[in-house]
Amino acid sequence: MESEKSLLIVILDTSLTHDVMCNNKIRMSEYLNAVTVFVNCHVMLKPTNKVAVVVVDTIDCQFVYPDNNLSLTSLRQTTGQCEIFSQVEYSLRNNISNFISQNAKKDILTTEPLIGAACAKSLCYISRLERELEAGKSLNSRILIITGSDNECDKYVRFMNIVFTAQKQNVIIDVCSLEHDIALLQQACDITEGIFFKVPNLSALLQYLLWIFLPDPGIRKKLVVPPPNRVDYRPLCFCHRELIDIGYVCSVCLSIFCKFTPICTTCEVVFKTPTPLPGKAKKKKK
Amino acid sequence: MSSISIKNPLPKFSVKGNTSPDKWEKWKLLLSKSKGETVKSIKGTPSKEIVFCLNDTILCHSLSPDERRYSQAEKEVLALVFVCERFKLFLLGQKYLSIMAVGMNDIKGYRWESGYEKSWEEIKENEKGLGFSALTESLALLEQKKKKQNGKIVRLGMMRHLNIIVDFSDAMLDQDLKPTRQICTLKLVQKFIKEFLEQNPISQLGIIVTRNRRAEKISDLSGNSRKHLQSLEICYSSNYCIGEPSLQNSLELALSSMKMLPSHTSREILVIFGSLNTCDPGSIKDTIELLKTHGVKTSVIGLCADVYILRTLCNVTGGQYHIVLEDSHFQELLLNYIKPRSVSKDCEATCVKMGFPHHSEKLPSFTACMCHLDDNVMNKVGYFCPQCNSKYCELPVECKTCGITLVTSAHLVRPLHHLIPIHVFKDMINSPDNNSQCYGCQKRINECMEQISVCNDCKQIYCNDCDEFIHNLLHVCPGCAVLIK
Ligand SMILES: [Zn+2]
Ligand SMILES: [Zn+2]
Ligand SMILES: [Zn+2]
Ligand SMILES: [Zn+2]
Ligand SMILES: [Zn+2]
Ligand SMILES: [Zn+2]
Repeated sequence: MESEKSLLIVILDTSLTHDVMCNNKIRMSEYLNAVTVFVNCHVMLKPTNKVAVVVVDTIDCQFVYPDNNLSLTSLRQTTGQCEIFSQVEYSLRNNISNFISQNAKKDILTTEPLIGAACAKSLCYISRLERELEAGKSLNSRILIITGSDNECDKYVRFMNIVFTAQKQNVIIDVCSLEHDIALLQQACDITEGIFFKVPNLSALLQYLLWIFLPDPGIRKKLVVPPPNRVDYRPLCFCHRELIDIGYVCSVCLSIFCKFTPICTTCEVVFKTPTPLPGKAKKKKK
Repeated sequence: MSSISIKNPLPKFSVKGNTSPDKWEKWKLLLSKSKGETVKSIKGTPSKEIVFCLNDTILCHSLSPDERRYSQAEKEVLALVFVCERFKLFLLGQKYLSIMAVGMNDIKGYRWESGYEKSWEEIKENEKGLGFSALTESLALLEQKKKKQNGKIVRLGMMRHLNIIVDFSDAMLDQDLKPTRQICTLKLVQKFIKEFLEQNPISQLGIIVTRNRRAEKISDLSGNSRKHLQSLEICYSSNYCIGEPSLQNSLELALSSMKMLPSHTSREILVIFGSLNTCDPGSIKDTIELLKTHGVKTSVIGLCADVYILRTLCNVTGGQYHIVLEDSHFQELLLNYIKPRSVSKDCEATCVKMGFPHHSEKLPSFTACMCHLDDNVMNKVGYFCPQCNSKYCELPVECKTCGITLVTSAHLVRPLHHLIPIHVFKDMINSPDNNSQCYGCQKRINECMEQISVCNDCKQIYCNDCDEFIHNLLHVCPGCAVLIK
């Protein structure tokens, strides 16, 4: 049992939407405090537990803990506080405020946080820790995304590549959404067997975090957690960007169209007139 | 011999021979002056000898009875040690040797020649453990890197039909692959099937086994990996492997299921053959011609020695012929067939009608699903065919009622990284006082003294491990994901 390490990577979205901030649903400081407490709780559970925190907004994403540049001299030991807690707290506080003030000077080009990039970075980090693991030890990793963004945040193909890699590496992706149901992230949770949860009451953010996302995935099965969402896997057609039930798929580039077109608009291949499906051809033969 | 002077920086050795471990006959070690020079092979050399050729001088080393029992890797190293002793005078003062292992008939197989200069060091380091597998592994990596550079495949045939023919004759009980050829093959084939159907979501796969002079189709062409894996379970029993295989019977069985397929799909056969003989009712040459006229690409993975008729089969139908060196090599050969093949520009393409089912809005009562009708299992959740409303509990599946293929959008996205490969990172020399860190894993660059890579698009620095991880698994550059176009 003790040979299992558990790694939690928290991806923290600091680009909270106007709606969340202005209507005073939650203040930034409350938000960060809740996450800091949550991260410390995870470390406190078991001595073998590891944690990493990545902040992300619409401009950049960055590891804030562990921090390679953290000099131990800058840490004043507050009385009675465990060393690792003060380290976590100090790095989070310092690096997040640096990160926010740094990016405030830059131009905002998009309104969506770069969650895909943060996940890709986290997977690189996980694969490094797995390489550095001593023999006989195993690492259970999961990624928790806390975000307040409202719609599809990334390019679908790119994000799905990341999700499939996580699935292959046995990394669970959990999502704690502050406001919206995000179809893309719901799919990510469904594929990696994580939990997607929309916080109904932001003032109780910490309680929800501790209740749902603190227990290890193995323990979750024994707890009463919200039932899994029914995930909609219907695609958008490439021509009108609408959800479709039945579509036509290009056999060369897998583009999806809602109607039969003579030429694929993506790869410009010319289609033959509709042929019988391979399934029908098979039946004819019998 | 004077051609090898001290000025000549890197004499190249190539170890050449039959790559099958137990039927190992002869190794030719050829020393050629430069890259472009063709390898001189000696015909009719007596077996059980290592033959070396240094320009025009031929040296032979008879294998002692003990040495004959060496494994293939050991023989290879033996050959190298021998050549170093003999050619010591010419090699002293040279920095590295470059070694190349090529299959018997792969004379143009100079693929690995460049970028392989330091492999001698690798052997030296592992001298006690004879780490030849490390060598083949790095070979594979280099090959992959090469392929990445060649990248830019415009069109891929995503719609494939593949029949796997597996030999279950008594030759498969041989123990040169651990634990036996049978078990090793089954394990790898199962892995292959799963991966193949994941990466080729609109393709179909069928399994044919051949034993006791017969061919038997144990799983029809379909895209459901669970069914295939189930049908393979029976092959695990130890008395499953009997008699001789029949290549012709199995090829004809495979052909009969693929003849009627529409012309825009690829037709492929992959044969895994362990036996050295085949028991055929007629002339196999006719079957090969037939395969050629129907455009069926046939590839063979041999577990034993090079067989003439199998090589002809591959050459005529445009497939590939490979002999397995060891189990990790076997796996690598199999995984090569997963990637969709590039197709010519004027190939025929088509639009395939597909259904994208979703859970219904209201919770339905417990009902049986179409895929488990016989098992009397009822469950609440399931996917409903948008055309005829049949219920299935797993996807992808072909609707039994209306024939449409049901998939999710996630299935269709999975193979897309083949179409949009990410760019190769540029190698960069690391300076020890470099204080930056790897953009991916946050490792300090001065900790890893090896080479580092830099992405051409986003100019971020990565360590070698991350470079490998990003290109082989992730297919996303984290730095580029930050840039907004
Ligand atoms: Zn459309
Ligand atoms: Zn297309
Ligand atoms: Zn149907
Ligand atoms: Zn079912
Ligand atoms: Zn790295
Ligand atoms: Zn990049």
